[in-house]
This record gives sequence, structure tokens and C-alpha cells, in this order.
Amino acid sequence: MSRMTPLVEAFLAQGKLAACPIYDLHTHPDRFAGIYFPAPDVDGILRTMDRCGVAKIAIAPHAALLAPVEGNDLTFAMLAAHPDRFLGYLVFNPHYPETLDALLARSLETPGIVGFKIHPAMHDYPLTGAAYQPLFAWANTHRQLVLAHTWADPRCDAVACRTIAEQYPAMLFLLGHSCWGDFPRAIALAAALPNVYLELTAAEHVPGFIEQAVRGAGAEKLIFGTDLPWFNPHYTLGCVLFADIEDADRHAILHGNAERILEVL
Amino acid sequence: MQWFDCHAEFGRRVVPNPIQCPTAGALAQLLGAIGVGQALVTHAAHYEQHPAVGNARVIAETREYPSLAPTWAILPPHTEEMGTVDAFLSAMAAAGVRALWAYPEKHRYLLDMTTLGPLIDALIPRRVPLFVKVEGERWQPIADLLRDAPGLRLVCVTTALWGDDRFFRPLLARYPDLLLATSTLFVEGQLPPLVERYGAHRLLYGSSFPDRQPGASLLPLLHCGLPEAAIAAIAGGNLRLLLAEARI
Repeated sequence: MSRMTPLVEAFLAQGKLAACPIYDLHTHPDRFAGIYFPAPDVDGILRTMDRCGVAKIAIAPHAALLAPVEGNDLTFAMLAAHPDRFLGYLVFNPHYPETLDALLARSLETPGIVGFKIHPAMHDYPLTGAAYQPLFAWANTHRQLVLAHTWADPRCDAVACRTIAEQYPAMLFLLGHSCWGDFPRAIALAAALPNVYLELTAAEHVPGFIEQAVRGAGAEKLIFGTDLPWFNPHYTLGCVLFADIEDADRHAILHGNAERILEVL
Repeated sequence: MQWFDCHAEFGRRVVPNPIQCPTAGALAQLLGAIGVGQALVTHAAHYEQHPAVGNARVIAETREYPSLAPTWAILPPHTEEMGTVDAFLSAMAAAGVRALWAYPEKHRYLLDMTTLGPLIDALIPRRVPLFVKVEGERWQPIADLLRDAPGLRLVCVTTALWGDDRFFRPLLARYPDLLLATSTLFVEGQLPPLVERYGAHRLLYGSSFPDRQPGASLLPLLHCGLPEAAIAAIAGGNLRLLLAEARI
């Protein structure tokens, strides 16, 4: 049976589709020491977005992940320069808890900030650790997004995610990479808790994952992401387009769910 | 676009993949459903059971599917599990096999000329392409092999989630017969500079099915901004030429 639905055929023909704008809620513009990226700067990211039909991305630049105090300045600069294309996460490094209050205050007063990105693996600090709790409490009170790097790693696996998601039920919790390698428990968690979403970066590459997640948690719980510039949006898009799901599911994953979440922030 | 996938597998794996194709027919049907007309294929038994088993099965099971071109797996000639080099090449010719795969990590041998020399010395003048999966970031054996066998037509399929340009670009620059499959070249913006620096003839479209979503690497090539001729070459033209040039 052909998988060439009208949506798939349109993307193959044109590379992008106005009727299906893409929202990417997991990106990391900026250079990174471990990988050569041909065009990780603002202009390159915008060219990519235009080529692939990506309407908006939520950014957490590498600088913000790796420069604990001043790194978020790049996020503010990018939001100010392109408020129509970029949304932003502030990155909180739990080894510098003294920075949190200022970040929380700035997040509420800065247009385009949609929440926080945390990285328990890179920062080698468990999701359930004490330093993260004030951030989660704040996100719970203000109904903000928290995008966490999650993986089959005790610092940020589905067990740790469940603990946090149950404790802070109003926090909109995006499981970055869908707890890569711990998929069945991540899918079960997203199915059980309304505040938990499966973010697809790298997970969508795994054959069968998208189909399992749609059937297990519902297409409305899947969020498109690419780690841009780590992954070509067209590659990630191809994973969604050629998965054995319906076009309505693809619309939900590529833009509908993000639009719905961003509306309630 | 006349797609010719350089790397797709059928057969049942020991640990099943959620979307694996147990038969050649299922793979031909799946690829057809996403618009891919031809594929160079391996059988799961190639590396999981034994090359001799996989080589026999891939021939027998693709016979009814002309869109699937079979490949064979190699072993070091010194143990003579695949017969002598001459006998192996004769059998290849009789079976119509025009490309080979090496699985050094799975089959526990060194990918070097000490181990494979007599076979590789026979492959080089025949222009038979040898495919190998680069496990993780282990490029050193590839660099060593190319240093000692610079005329070998070697096609590398990367597996790392992190971009490997810093590993493979120096090798592409030095060894003109090194090619890459596109199946995991998914860093944003990665393809055009490779074509501009090293030529479109160095890349082969691949899906790496069933380790990767079968259609995921179509769009990155179709809409990467390269000239249409370069895209068509990578999509299938290069592989057709590569197989045609193999003198078996």
C-alpha cells in the first residue's frame, strides 16, 4: 500500500507547505565544540527554517547550555532580533542556583520566553535533585514549559520524569528525546499524565517509535523537535511523514500540538 | 527521481525490529510504497548467522524481485570459510553479485590489509565496492585500511548521532575512491558542502532500513538546494554506475 498521502506528496514536491507550518520546540543554535555544523548561526538557522517551512522554533542556544552565567544573553539577543521566528527557553544550570531568581524574573518580563530548558545529563545533575525544585514549583505556578533532556539514564529517565510530573501537575513538561531508550515507560507516562508530552528529537529516527507513541499516548501528546542544527529538519520531517500514521496525526505533531500549547502559556 | 537505495536489509533479526521486513517481497513492497524503485540489499543472516548462510539466502530470496540487487558478506580469506579468493570471486560472478559488505566488529576480525589483503588486492582492480558500517566513531580502522589500500572502492555507512565531518572529510580529501551513504548524514546543511568540495559522485542515497525510518533521507536530498543533476546522481545514478563498473 502506498504511503504517498496528499500531505506526503506535497512535502516531497515542494519541501514545505503553507498549510502545514512546522513548529520546532527543541533547537540549539550556535556552534558546538563536539560537532562541525555548517551553518549554526542566526542567518543559517533562518535559511534552514525558510527552506523547510518551519514557522517558529524555540531556542536554547549551545552558549546557554555551556556558559552558566552569561550564556542566556544570546537567547535574549536572538529573540529581540527575530521575535516573529524565535521563541526562547532560558537554560538553568543547577550548579549555579544563585542565578535562578534573576532568570525567573526575566523570563516573565521578556516577550517570547516560553519556559526553561534543563539538561540533567550535560550538567550531571539529577532531575529529582533539590536545585531544580524551585524552578519546577515556579513553572507549576505559572503554567510554564520545561523542556528537559531525558534519556535512559537514571538522572533523567522515565522514572525520574514521572516523579517530577506527578509532583508538579500544572507544569507543562516536555520530555526531550522522549526518554530515548526508555520509550515504553515514557509513552506510558505521556498517556497517563495530561501535563507530559513526548518531544521527538532523535527518538523519531528509531523505526516504529512514532507509530508506537501515537498509538500509546495519542498524537496530541507528540511534539516535533530537531535539536537544530544537529538534525536536518527535512530528515526529522521525513520520519513523521513516512511513519505509518494518519495525516491528521502528522498535522498534530508538526504544528497543531505546539500551537495549542503556546496558546495557553 | 530514480531512487536506488544503497543500504537496505530484509530478514528476521534475532531481536526483532518493529518495522523489519522478514522477506524480500515485503522490502520491495515497502520501498515501492515510498517511491524507491531499487535497492542494494543485505539479509539479516549475513551478520547475525553467518556470511555463507546470508549469501545463499540473499540470492535465493531476491530472485523473484529484480528491483533488489543482492550483496554478499566477506570474511578473512585466511580461514577459507568462504573458499579461496578465486573461488569466492567466481561464485560472486555466477550469482550476479556486484558489491560486498564487511562486518569486522560483528564477525571479529581486523579491517586491515594483514587480514583482508588477498581479497582486497583482488577487489581493487575489479572495482568491486566494499561497504562497511562505521560503528560509533571508530574511524581509525577506516583510515588505516585506506592508507594501505588507497585504490579500494570503500562505501562507509555512518551510525553516530553526532556529525562525523571532522573524521571523514580528511579521508574524502585524500582517497578519491571513498564514498559515503547519505542515510545518516543528517546534520543540517551537511550535504551541499560535501558535494561542492568532493563531488556528487562521492555520495550514495541510502535508507539504512530497518535501523532508520525508510523514507527519512529522501527529503534532505530532494530539497538540499543542489543542482538537479547532482541530486539525481546521489539518488541513484552513482550507485548504478558503481555497480556497472564492477568487473566480476
